[in-house]
Amino acid sequence: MTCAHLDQLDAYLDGDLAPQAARAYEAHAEACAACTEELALAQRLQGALRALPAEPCPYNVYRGALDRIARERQDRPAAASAATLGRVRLPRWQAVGLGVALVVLAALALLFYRPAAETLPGPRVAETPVDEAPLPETPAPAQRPLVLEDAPDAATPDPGPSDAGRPTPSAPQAAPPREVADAAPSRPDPDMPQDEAEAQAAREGVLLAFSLFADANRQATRSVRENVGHGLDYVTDALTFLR
Amino acid sequence: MPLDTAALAAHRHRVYRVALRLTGCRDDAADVTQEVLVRLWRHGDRVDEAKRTAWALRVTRNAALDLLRSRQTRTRYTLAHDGLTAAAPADDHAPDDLAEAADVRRHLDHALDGLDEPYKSIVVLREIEGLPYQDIADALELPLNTLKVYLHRARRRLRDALRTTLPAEELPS
Repeated sequence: MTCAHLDQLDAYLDGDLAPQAARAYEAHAEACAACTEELALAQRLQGALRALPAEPCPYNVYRGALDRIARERQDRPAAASAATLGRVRLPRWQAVGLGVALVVLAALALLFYRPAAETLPGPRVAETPVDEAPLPETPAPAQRPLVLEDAPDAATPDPGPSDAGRPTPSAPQAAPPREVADAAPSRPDPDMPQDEAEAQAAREGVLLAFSLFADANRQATRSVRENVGHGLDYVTDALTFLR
Repeated sequence: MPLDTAALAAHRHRVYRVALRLTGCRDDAADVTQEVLVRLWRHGDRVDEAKRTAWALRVTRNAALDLLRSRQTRTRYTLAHDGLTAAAPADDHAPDDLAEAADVRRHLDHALDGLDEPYKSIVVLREIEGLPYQDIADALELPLNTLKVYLHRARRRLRDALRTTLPAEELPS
């Protein structure tokens, strides 16, 4: 089936031919068997395609889309907030730098904002030569035998580190061995010298301060990523606490 | 501001029909339709209203083709297997007419299913949905002249496919 006019078939079907050209094509198609057959098939095919059942969208499909939209709409404030905060989100290197800066700030705060009464005794002790250090009023721990005060046999030698911390069955519970007492720094040993107890308390205080600051710093870094304003509040709070 | 739901409702039937034609499966068409409607709600306000239909159909076609690609290993239902062709009987027709019409539609569906892309999409959008050339060109991101050439080829392939399986006199006029 070959006819030069077959190329005009689609243009004729779509109404793209000028009226005169369309009439000429129709006249040709009546005389040309190939064009007649092709035109008939094309017209019937076009009609059949347009007559195909137009299945509507089931309501449950539309309802499902609306439900998804409703869920997304509920999450949208948070998503919008995250998108807004995304504009102030810091790159990793800036967050690390900010963390370092916060640590430095905390160290400076410890140095300059600590009240004088809470000054640590450590440096003072270190400046004094050991030989010239005044003897404390209470005997130094090293000058006391490492035995339990109420041990049944005062001459019993030091049980050694392997037995350290293991109370003698007859030992009273109120007087734990020195090693056990040392293992619980939060409860200062009553026998500890005053300076040493203060130094220990100061060390614990510093450790606690750094621990708290580290937590605050972590929270501040996380918050700064999300919200600079909140992050600054955390920093302010941390500095206020350290002060 | 996202599109309101009234605008979504205006698109849902066409989106579903095109998705159904392209995927050949109601479940897939439902998935595609929901995805398209959600995207339309999200981004439709940024699309010029005059171009929104073409945009929605482009998203529909892309989603449908993506779904088909992702499920190539799965056994696909053809429209005939899915029962789509037998879904629209008319009450005022005799049983023989209904059977004949269903048979014709099965042949048409089979011929349509045998078309490659973008010919199938073009036939669906032009011959079944009756969209203007420009909307189809926008939806398929094709130049207008290229679209007309493709449509010409697609029609010829359909006629050739039906000529071998179905005599012209059996096609409804």
